[in-house]
Amino acid sequence: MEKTSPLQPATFLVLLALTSGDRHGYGIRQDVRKLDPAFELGPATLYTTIQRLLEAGWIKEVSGPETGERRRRYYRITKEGNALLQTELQRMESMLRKSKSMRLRAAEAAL
Amino acid sequence: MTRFFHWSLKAYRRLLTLYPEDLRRDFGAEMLEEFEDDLSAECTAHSIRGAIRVWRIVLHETIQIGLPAWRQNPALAVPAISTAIAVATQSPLLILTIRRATQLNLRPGDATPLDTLFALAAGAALTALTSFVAVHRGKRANLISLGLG
Repeated sequence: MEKTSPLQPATFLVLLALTSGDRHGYGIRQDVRKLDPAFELGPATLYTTIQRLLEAGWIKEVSGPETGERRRRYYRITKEGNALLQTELQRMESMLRKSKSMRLRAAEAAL
Repeated sequence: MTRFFHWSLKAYRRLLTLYPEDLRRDFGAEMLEEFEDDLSAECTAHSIRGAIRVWRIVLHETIQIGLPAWRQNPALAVPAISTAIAVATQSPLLILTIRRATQLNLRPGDATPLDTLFALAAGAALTALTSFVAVHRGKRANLISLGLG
């Protein structure tokens, strides 16, 4: 199983995309592109990540809305997945705070 | 562009066989649809540049995800290893033939380096084929014995 912290970029972005609601694969990729345009998430990376997240119980498959289009599989973040994402976000926030204060100190020292 | 689009779909379908079996079984259809959606959107928006971008991502993924899975698949790993061994053990013969050909004047009927290279390639191909068939048959026999074949 994937280690819980730090999360791999694809895992983090897929979980983050699913916090705004149930999504199918293509929807997840569109959200990921909006979140981080520099991150290239291809079909294989996406579904390898989805497979791992399903196995770990961090997301689950749900029935999507009935549309006339082709049937797509929808995914939803679970309570465990959400908790994991919150922990990761807190870790990143703390790291950002620390790096900002380090930068400030470095700027002061340069003066 | 339509021909390129159809060719791309065919090529991606072939490329899918390089990915791990469980990934293909569970998500192969979705992956193909995603690729089709991507290619269609990128070709419409950026024409050939968009298509190149889609293919670049796909090939990068194949190297990252598809190729490592090969090593775990005995049906591909065994032929690859046995072919490498065959080439390594037979290539001194090719080197010897090249040396001899440069030292001696070849008479009609003598083996040329090209003949040896051809024999070496044929031997390697035959090794790959026989080991692939052997592993494949072994795998099938296992499935039949488990009542799954």
